[in-house]
Amino acid sequence: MPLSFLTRCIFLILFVSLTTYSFSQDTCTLTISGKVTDEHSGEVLEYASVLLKGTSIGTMVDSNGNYELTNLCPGEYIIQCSHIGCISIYDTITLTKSITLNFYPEHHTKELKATIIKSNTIIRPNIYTYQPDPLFERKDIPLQNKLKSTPSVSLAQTGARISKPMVWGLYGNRLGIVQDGVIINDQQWGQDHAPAIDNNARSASLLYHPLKYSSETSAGIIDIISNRPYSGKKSLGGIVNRYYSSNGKNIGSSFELNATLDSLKGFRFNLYGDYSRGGDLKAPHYYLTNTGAANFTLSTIIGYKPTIKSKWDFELGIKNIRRENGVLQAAHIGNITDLKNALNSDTPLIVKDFSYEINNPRQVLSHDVLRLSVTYFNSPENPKYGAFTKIDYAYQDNTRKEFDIRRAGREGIPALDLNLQTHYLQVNTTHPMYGSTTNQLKTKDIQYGFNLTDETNINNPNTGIRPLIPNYESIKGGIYFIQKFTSLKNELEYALRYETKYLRAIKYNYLNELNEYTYNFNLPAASINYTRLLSSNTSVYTRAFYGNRSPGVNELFSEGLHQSVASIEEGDTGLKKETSVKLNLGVEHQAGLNYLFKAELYAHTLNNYIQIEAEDELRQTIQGAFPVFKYKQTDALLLGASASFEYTGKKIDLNILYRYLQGQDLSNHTYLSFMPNNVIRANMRYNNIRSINADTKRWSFKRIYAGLSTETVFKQKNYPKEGIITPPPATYTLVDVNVSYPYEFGNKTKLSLEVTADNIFNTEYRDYMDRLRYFAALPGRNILFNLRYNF
Amino acid sequence: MKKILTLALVSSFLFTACGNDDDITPEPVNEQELITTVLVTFSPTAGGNDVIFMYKDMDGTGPNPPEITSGKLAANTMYNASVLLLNETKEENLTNPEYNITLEVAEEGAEHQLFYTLSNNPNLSFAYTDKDSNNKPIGLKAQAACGDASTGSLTITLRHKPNKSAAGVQNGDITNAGGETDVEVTFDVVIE
Repeated sequence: MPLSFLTRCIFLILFVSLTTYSFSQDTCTLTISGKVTDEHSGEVLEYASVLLKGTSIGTMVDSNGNYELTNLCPGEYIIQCSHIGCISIYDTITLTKSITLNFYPEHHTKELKATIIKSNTIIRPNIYTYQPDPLFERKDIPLQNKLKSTPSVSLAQTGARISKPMVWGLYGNRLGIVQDGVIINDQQWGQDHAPAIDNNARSASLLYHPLKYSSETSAGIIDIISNRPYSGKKSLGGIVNRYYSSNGKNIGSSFELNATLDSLKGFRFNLYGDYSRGGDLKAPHYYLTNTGAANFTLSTIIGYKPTIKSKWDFELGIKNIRRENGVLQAAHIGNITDLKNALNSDTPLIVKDFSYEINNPRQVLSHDVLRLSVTYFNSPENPKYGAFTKIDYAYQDNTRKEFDIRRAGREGIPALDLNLQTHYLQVNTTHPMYGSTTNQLKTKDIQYGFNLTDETNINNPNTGIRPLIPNYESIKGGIYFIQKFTSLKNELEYALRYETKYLRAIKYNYLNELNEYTYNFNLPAASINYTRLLSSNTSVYTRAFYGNRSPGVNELFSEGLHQSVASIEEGDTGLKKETSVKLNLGVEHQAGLNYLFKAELYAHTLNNYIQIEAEDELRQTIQGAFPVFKYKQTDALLLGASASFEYTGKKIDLNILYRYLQGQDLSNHTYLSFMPNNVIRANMRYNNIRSINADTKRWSFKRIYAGLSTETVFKQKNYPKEGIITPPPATYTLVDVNVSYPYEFGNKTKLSLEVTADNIFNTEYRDYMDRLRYFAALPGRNILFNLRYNF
Repeated sequence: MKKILTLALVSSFLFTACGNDDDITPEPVNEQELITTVLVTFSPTAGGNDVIFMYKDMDGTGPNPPEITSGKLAANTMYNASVLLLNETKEENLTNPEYNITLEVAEEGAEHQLFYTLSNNPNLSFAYTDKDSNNKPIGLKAQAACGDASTGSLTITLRHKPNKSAAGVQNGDITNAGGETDVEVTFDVVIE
């Protein structure tokens, strides 16, 4: 049913857009021409495309970076310049005479798998990438919530403020997060532990082949880029945001500054900071008591490259993240009797008036990163045949404190106090254009290197509570080799990796006896990606992945009570490694310049898949009876499909996506628990262009953007019937609306006001993937006012 | 490639060299809030031998089953019941607050209440005899009145931060109490 609904939508939109946006052409003799060069290096960007949005007029630049659009009618256009690996540039022009327009896209150093065959035909990267909307980026929600524009991505939530990204139903240590070339090492022991990632992202891509970083992350890698390459040109720019959102009465600000100064030649700076403070959120009919939060991020990146042709490039990054989150007070319960009481009540058992106070239970975390990277390029004179060697070192310090409701004035003492320190080293060499060009199938690039991670996790013994996670140290080392071949219509890439991991943990058992455990895991991995161009606008791809994951520390050693779900969780020190074989098949079809269709099939088998399973036992303790959940291994099969459709018109952009996913527990002949629901998301944006009055020097009102998005999350029907506390919640649909009014003054400076309404109909809903769904609904309507200043 | 290998070797040596020196042996955690034992003492008001109910679980949430014993109560007899909450992993001394958790509960009496819930109709009733700072019951002490010979069960529940003003709570009805359960133990009751 959903697919046929989707098909109908597509036809409807095709029909509407074709009838609305055809326009006649009369005295059409004007031209727009210019040159496209890299903002930083000044190099010509071959294969960039320039097109007029909403028309079929567009071209690729020639080998000198020049383009020309001819036979244009007078009128208003949005002109878009795109290059793979760059953020698209949009400009609005009122065409009355032929003009010259040059573009300077900002180019990533790390070029994502884009292969150019010949002009006008491109094997698209087939990678889902999130880039902040050039018109408006929300800073009031975490980065992972924005990645939902990728069909395979969903969220595992603990209330509205704590969320973890999932890819095709897998998360935690199956999904890696890399920021500026460094794996984020933080404490993700449970579903209620959100990753320490910040909102300073120029792009976030989902890499399907994680082998440069890990054998273990079978769900892939979220690759976040926040640093910028050296421009060689003087530049100073930034963005300041101030916002207020009504639900939770959040107040926040963020700033970003990018500078390359004449007085400090060769240096580049990226400063980013944000701060926000919010109080209790509100579901449609009641406050979610104790869901306040405070966030603080400060990130400084300083780069140094003496000249644009230098062989060396240095970068230093320092980042501090501080977070405090209240956990819904009604979710803090004693035993299964309390849980039953909570389930029998439609509203949370504790509801108080709005407050900014963050009381226990609450989480306080800090994440500090010190990153150094050195890049050596051996052939700046002849860049096509050189090799880059990059050395990244990072030190990360992650502290997690959890405060609980306790007796005898101990509320100020954390119930859990863990400190994780990580050293990370990676050395990577890339030969971008390796080998000869005479063969039909030529080697495009090779990459090889190694990475080492050393982790030490220590508990503060003064908590007065036996720790959930023991003290441990682990050392992990991996080597990898990646090679890519291309021919006229084919691209083939394979990657090999071997990783070894040593783990030593020491803990006290239930009877306070000290036990030591050591493990060694051998973790080989391999992947192969093949893309074939069927025609100039249709490509198909196949990706196969094989990898191994060692059991996580929580899976091996967890032991104790999980308060908010009133259950005892126990690890198993005998767990074996988990082996993945994954296959993705995809097709991408571009129709004209306006329509893009993508579809993907996904199959993933996990032998010895580690999951938490309900035991038959109801354990008697002095606190009452508790169900027991144990980490166990099973054979699992994940099957998924997604389809997305994008239309880019002159005034309207539209995209619709659908995702289906099913997880099967093959050993127990049932479904896997906690698999994301099927979903349809649709997003429409309208741009109304007004011409600029060149005579008035006042701020001129230029455009309105208005957006409408809907999300329908279907009821999860495939779940294990055993051990489920309460059936999954019903299907729900949310509608969000946003409007933006930008004012421009001068060439670059822009002030804009954005008003967004989330859940505009104040729908009451609970989500299967929200761990607090037993206790309360998710938030109702929220109105966000954001004032943004670009300079 | 050779350079890379050398670097790999050198750095892996450095890593293991720094890594292995870490002392990760944990200090034992002083579990101050653990309750291992609930002792209910029934003293006949007219004098005579105490009857003791005991629930003891030394491994907390661990897999070993608790040890539960209950004595026989005499029919048509009035008892003073008092509850002791102990952490028997600590030094045995009733004035040691780490051992005798009852002291903490009594001190924070306004934030705690014990409930005596009966099932399967034993001929038994409880009336609170202690008060917190707000003149509301805590329930560490109660008067137990036994009627004719009968059997059934008794559940003793300790709630942290209950709503003592809710309907019935001051009379020992747990239904509207809310709060978080710190202790919930069930004993067989035999009245002869």
